[in-house]
Amino acid sequence: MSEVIYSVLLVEDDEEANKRIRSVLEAHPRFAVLGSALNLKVGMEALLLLKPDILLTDIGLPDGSGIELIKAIHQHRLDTEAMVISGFQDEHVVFQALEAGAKGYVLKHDEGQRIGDALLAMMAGGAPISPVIARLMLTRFDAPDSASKTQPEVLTERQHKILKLVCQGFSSREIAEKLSITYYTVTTHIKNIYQKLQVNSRSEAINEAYKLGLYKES
Amino acid sequence: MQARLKRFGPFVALGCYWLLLNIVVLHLPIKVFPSPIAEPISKVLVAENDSSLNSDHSRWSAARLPHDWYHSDTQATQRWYKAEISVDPNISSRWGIYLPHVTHNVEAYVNGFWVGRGGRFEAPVSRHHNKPLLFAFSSKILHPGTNEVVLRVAAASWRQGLLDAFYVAPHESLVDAWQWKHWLRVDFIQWFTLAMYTMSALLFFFWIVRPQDKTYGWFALLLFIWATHNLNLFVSDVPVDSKYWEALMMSTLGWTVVTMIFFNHRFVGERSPRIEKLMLTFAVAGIGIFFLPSIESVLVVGYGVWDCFLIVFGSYAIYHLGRVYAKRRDTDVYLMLLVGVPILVFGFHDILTVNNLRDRREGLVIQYSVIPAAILFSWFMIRRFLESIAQAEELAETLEMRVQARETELKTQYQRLNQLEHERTLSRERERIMRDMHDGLGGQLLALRNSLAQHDSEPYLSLRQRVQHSINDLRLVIDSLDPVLNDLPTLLGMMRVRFEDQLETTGIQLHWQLEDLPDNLELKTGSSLHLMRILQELMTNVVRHSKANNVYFKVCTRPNKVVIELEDDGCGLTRQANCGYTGRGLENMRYRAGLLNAEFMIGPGSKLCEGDEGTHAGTKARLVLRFNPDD
Repeated sequence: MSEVIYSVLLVEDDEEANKRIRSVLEAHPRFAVLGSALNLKVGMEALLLLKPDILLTDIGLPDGSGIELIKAIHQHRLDTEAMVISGFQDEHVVFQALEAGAKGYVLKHDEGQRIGDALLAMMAGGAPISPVIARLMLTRFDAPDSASKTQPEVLTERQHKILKLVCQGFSSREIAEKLSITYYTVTTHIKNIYQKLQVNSRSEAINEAYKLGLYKES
Repeated sequence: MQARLKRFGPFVALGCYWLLLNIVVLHLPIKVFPSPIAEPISKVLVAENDSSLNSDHSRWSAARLPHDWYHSDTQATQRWYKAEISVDPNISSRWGIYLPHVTHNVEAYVNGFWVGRGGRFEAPVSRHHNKPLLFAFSSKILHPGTNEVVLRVAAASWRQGLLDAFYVAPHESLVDAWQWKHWLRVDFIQWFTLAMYTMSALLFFFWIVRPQDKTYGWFALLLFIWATHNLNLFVSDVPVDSKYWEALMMSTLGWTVVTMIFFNHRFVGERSPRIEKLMLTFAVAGIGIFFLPSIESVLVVGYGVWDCFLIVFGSYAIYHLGRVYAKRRDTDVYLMLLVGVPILVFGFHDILTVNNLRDRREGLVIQYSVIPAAILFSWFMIRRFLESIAQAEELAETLEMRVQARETELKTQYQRLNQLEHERTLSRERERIMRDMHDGLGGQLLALRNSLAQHDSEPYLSLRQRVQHSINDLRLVIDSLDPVLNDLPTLLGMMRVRFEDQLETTGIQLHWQLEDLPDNLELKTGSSLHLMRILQELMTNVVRHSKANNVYFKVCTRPNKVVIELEDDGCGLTRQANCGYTGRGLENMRYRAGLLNAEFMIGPGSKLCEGDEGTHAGTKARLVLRFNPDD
C-alpha cells in the first residue's frame, strides 16, 4: 500500500533557511513542495491558489505576520494544516500561532529528520505540547474574563488536570497512567484544548471587533 | 386551642378594650372636675332678650340651673339670670363668682355693680363653652344678709345657650376648682395644640426632604387640620361670624377623619382608591356647609348629618386597620387600633353631646383621645424618618465600602497591569536578546553544530558536543528571562525537556517522580536562572561522570518547602572525583543555592551497592527551597 504524499507550502523569509528546509522536504518521500514564498503577500496568494495539505510558515515575515496565513486557512475553510517555523525556540510566539490555529512548530535549524518527523506527527493527528505552552494555556483559560461571553469555552476539570501535569513535565503516556486513562484519551483531550483555545481566541477577536465597530452581525 | 387564641386573642382583647372605653366614657358618672366647697346657686329668675341691666324685667320667671336653652320655648340668644344670695361679707375681703359652664358668654353684676365679663356680646359673641369663668370682686359691694347677683348670658345660637349652676363665695375657696378645670380644659389643650402645629411643621419639613414619601405630607396635613379644629376649645374671640366659625370647625373635623384615612392607607401600604375617592367627594361636598343660610342650619346639618357620616368613616378606619392586622399581625397596626378606638368612642360621646342626647355640661372630650394617637403617629413618623436616614447612611457606607473595594481592585489591577507591562517589556527584551543571540551567536553555533555533524571522527564529535552544550547554555539563559518560568512546576517541566534532550544518546533512563504540586509556587524574579543552573549542573555531572544507568528526579512538598532530589545509581561522588569531577562545580552550586536561600546537600545515594554491604551506590543531591505563603 502506497503512503500518502502531503503537499507543502513553505513561507520563510530567511533565504538560507528557506532553501535548506525546502531541500529537506523535497528529499523526503512523504512530502511534495508545491511552492515556497519569502513574504506574506506571495505566501497568501500561493496558499489560496495552491490549497496545500501543509502550510509551513515563519511568523516574522518582512511584510506581516505568518499568523495571518494561519487565520486565512480558517477564514477560507481550507483543508490545510498549519505548522510554524520558529527561529530560536520561543514558546510565546508558538502559542500565538497555536491560538490562531497552528498545529505545531519546528525549529528553523532543526535537523531535516526532525522537521519531517514533526510534520508527519502533525498529519497523524498529534498535538505537540510543552510545559511552557501548557502553562500559557492554563493562564489563558484562568483569565478573569474566561467565563464571560468573550471566552465561551472553559476547560473541564480533567483537561485542567492534564495541562497541570504537562506543566510539570509529564509525558502523555505518564499522564495516562497517573489518571488511569488511555494515552489516546490524553491526546484527544489536548486536541480539544487546542480547539477551545482557538474558539476563545476567535471569539475574543470578534468581541474586540465589535467594540471597535469593525464587525457587524449579518 | 393555642392557635385559635393567637388568632382571635388580639381581637377579643380589642373588643373588651372598646367595651370598657364605652362603659367608662358613656355610662360611668365619673366626676373629673371637683366642685368648690360652697353651695351652688341653681335657683334663679330668668328673663329674655333685654340688653340692659336697667331694662324693665317684667317678664322674670323662675328657673333652675342648669338651664339649657335648647329645651326652651323661645329662640332667644341672650338671657338675664337673677339670684338672691345670703352671705357674710366679713369672712373674706376678696370674693368671686365661679361659672363652671356657660355657653357662650357671660357678664356678672353683684348688687348692681359690674364684676366681670367673658368678652364680646356683639356678634360674633365671645365663646366660653369650654372654658370655666371666675370673676373676682371686693367684699365691699356685698351687704350683710341678702345680695342680688345678676348674670347676662349670650349664645351664638339659641340651640347652644346654657348656664350651669354657679358659685358665689370667697375667692380662695373657688380658685382651685377653677384652676384645675381651666388647666385641663384650656391650658393643656392649648399647649398640646401648639405641639401639634410644631409637629406638623416638622413633618412638613420631613416631607420637603423626602417628597417621595407622601406619608409625611399627609400626616403633617392631618395634624394641622386637627390642631385647627382644637382652636374651638380655647379661642374666645373668633375673627369671623359665628356661622362660619361653626362651619369651619365642622369641616376641620371632617377633613381630620378623611386625612387620617388617607394617612392610614399610605402608612400600612394598602390603599383603596374607591374609598379614597368617596372620602374626597364627601370632604369637598362638606365645604357646602359654609353656604348654609344661618348658624342654626349649620348646627342642624353639621351635628345631625355631617357628624353621623364621620362616625361611619371612623368605623371604616378601624375596620381597615383590623383587616390589615388580621392579615399581617403587625404590632404597629395593632397600636394604631389601640389609639384609634378611643377616638371613635370619644367622638361618639361628643356627637351625642352636641345633639343634646347627653348632658352638655360634660363638654367635648374628643381632643383627649387625640393625644395618644398624635403621639404614636408622630413617633411612627419620626422613627420612619430616622430609619430612612439610617438606611441612607448605611447605603452611603456600603457605597463607600464599594468604592473602597473598587479602588483596591483598581489598584490591584493597576499593579497587575504594571506587572504585565513589566513582563511584556521583559518579554520584548528577551525576544530582542533571543533574536540577537539567534542571528549572531545562536545562528553561528547552530550552523557550526550542523557543519560539525557531517564529520564522525572523535575531535569533531567532542567539538560538536561542546557546541551543543553552548547552545543549551544559551537557551538556558534566554529561558531564565521568561516570566512563565517563575512558576516552579513549569520550570521543572521545562528542565525535563532539556534533560531528555541531554540524555537522548547516553542510554541513561530518567525517572520523573513529581508529587502533585500546588499552584502557588512562584520563584522570585532572577531566581529561576540559579535553579536551572544548579539542576543543569547536577544532570551534566550525571551524564559526564556518574556512569549511571538511571537517574531519579523527585520533587515533594513539605510545609512552606519544596524538596528537589536528583539521585543516580552511578559510581558515586568519590569516584566521580577520580573521573575528573572537581569541587568547583559543587562550590558553584552551593553558592547559587545560597542566593536562592535554599539548603543544598550532596552525598552518597540511598541505594546499597550490590555485593558490598554497607556501601551506598550513586550520588544523591538534595535542594530544599523555602516558600513563604505570605510572599
